[in-house]
Amino acid sequence: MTTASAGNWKPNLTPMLDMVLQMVMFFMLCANFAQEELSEKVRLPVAVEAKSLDKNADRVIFINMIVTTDEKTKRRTWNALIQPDVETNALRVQRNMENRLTLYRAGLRDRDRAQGKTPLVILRADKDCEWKWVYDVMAACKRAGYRDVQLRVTVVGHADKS
Amino acid sequence: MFGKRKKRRFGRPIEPDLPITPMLDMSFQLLFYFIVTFRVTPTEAQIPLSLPNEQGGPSAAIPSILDDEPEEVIVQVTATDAGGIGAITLRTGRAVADAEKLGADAHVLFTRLQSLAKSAGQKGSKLRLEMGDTLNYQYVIVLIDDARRAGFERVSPVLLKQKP
Repeated sequence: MTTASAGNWKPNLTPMLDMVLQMVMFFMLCANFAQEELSEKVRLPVAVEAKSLDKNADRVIFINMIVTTDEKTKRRTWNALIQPDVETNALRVQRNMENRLTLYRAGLRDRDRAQGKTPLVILRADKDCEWKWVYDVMAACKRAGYRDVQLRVTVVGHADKS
Repeated sequence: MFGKRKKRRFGRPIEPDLPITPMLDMSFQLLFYFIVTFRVTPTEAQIPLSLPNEQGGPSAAIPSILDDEPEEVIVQVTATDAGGIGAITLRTGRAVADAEKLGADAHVLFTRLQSLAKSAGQKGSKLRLEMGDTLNYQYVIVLIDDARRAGFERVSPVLLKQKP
């Protein structure tokens, strides 16, 4: 190691800067920017064999179902957030959801009539939901005229540890 | 045209002094921010279902894959109060007498479904999965997943009808 006079010694910061910028680049690329349709409150159920996501679906409606507790009755209930919608409302009553889905589909109908497209419903339900709640949402989708429903799961090995 | 040309001086080259320290400070701040906000998201996958193509319908409409086709294998799963699997019953025919009780273990059902799917004519047939109201959604997915892994490509998850 070369000795330098105490006054002139300057550390070479360029390699450190390169390294830090590379790490910044890595974390920037891996960062998950806010995706409104993917509610992080939903803990998805785990499945062993599920299909990989189809990125070609252009008309999708996200329904996020989370488990909550009713403040009045202290009973377990569910909330649903529908995306993409003009305003994101927590809908507790299934009839409201059906109306909202019907309205949304009616809005899309003009644009998609020529192409014969029906929006795909992506159902992201919490793993602690009761089957009846999920079933009711699927029944509402059916009555609103939707045909394709996709149940979102987490594949084994990537399960949320919480 | 050929004016006086400025004489180039060949002396010590000028060394630009680029202040790296502020840039490094800024980079560290950015790095800190991204490290703090970094979160590994689990990989999502899908289980596709097709609902019957009809408008409206009764309130107790059943979303199944193909309503007009008769089910060949019917699995009934009751739920415990805590949302777990209560009892599993397997029916391969219309008669109630054909019901086969499999306890509360989903793995037993998976093994049984595998043997059914391997037998001639059963592969690809429709499986109707009737599950209790309060069954936990995680178990619902496990049962659908098991049925698909066993070889049943068309699985209809529906509500278990309550006995009067």
